[in-house]
Amino acid sequence: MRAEDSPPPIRLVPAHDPPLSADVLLQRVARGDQQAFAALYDLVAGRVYGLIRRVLRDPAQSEEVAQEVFVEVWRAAARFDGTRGGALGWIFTIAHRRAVDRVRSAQAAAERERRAAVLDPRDDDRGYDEVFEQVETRLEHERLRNCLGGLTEVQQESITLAYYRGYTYREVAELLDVPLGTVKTRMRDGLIRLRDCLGVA
Amino acid sequence: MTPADVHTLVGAYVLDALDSDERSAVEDHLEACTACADEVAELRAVAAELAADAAEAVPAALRSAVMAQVAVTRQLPPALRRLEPAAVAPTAVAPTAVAPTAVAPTAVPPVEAARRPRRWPRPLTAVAAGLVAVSAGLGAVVVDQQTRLDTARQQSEVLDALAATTLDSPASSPVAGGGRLAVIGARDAAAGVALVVARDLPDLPEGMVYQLWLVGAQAPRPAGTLVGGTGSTDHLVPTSATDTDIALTVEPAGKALQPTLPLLVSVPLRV
Repeated sequence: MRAEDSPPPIRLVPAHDPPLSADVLLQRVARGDQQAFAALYDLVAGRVYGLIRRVLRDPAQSEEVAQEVFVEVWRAAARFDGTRGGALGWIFTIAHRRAVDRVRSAQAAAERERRAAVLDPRDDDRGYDEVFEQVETRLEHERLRNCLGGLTEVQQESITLAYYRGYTYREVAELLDVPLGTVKTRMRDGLIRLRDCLGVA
Repeated sequence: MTPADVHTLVGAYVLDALDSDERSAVEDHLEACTACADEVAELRAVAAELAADAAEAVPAALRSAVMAQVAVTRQLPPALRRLEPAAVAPTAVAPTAVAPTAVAPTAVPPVEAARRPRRWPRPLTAVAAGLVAVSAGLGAVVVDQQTRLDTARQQSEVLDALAATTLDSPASSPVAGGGRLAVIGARDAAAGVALVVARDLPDLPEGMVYQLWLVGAQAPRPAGTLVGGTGSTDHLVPTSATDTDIALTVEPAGKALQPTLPLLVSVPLRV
């Protein structure tokens, strides 16, 4: 029997409408739709909180920052343009920046001085190797792990120390004992290589 | 900090690995450098992958705390940096075939309630724009309103009124594939803003958006997005003197560099 004689395939109709995307929800939030905001919260809260938690560690502070982030998403939704990137990227940018700002302000001046004096990154009580263990065990996406694995050591370390630990590029340069210019370049070309590997943007 | 210095900081900026002075310097530069802003947007999408990777169980108390705070938090209106607040002489809503005139800011007394549709909010101060609806050659609808546009809810009410009026009129255009779209333009001496309203655009697959474009003397540039579905959607677009038309296409979200044909609709910015 030829393919054209076959009856059309049975289409499974979902019982409910498929969930709306973050982009659609954010546009509705921009017009004051609180139900859309609740749906957006349910869609992204796990990832937002998880990201903040990874940077901040402390659950109570992470909860505070997460609340600030969501209120900011509500407040500024009408300012989101949609032309330069999607809603998820915008939300994660807000979350990451607030987490990083909080983790830096929480550091006592004494601790900063102490860390600046550290010669061996492994002496840092945040546990340099611990960074990668934590990232490794939490990484659920094979694709991301593979793409990170495709970076050079300095590229990977620069990016993960900055993104998941909130270090500035100067602190990363100290920790890795690498010139400032090198760290700056590796962050950028590491991201570019990740972009090509992940197939985003 | 020279532009060359700023270029080297783009990666660190995207990773939030700069101190606040450096961050400000980069952001100042991004306002002036489209190429850098595009690169930042691309690399931000990569950082979002780093973020999206890990989800965690969220404390239940967070949700109720967020919802409670949101219920009492005022939203920011869209950024309209180039629109100067101006009081304009009000006129009644009426379709006409007369070419629109440029609206010059003049001081006027507050409008009597009888002149405005009842559902528009009472103005507290005279902050307004004269708005002209432009059709694809069918004439113009002149709409004026005075209202305080400083909350998203009030803006939303005004937008609803304008959208409905214009989309129902001959000043709107059909969109290929479904729906209707209209452009309501305002122009002052230096620059303009266009309010693009649309209705009943079909739903799009996940990851696709309706992308607006400004077309004119320059290469087409992205001008915001619209959403599909029943009901109306809108976007405020700052325009420049060399822009002549607004066009709509379907694009992958966040990846629009130039329009992917076909154009679903194209509307001139002035009659």
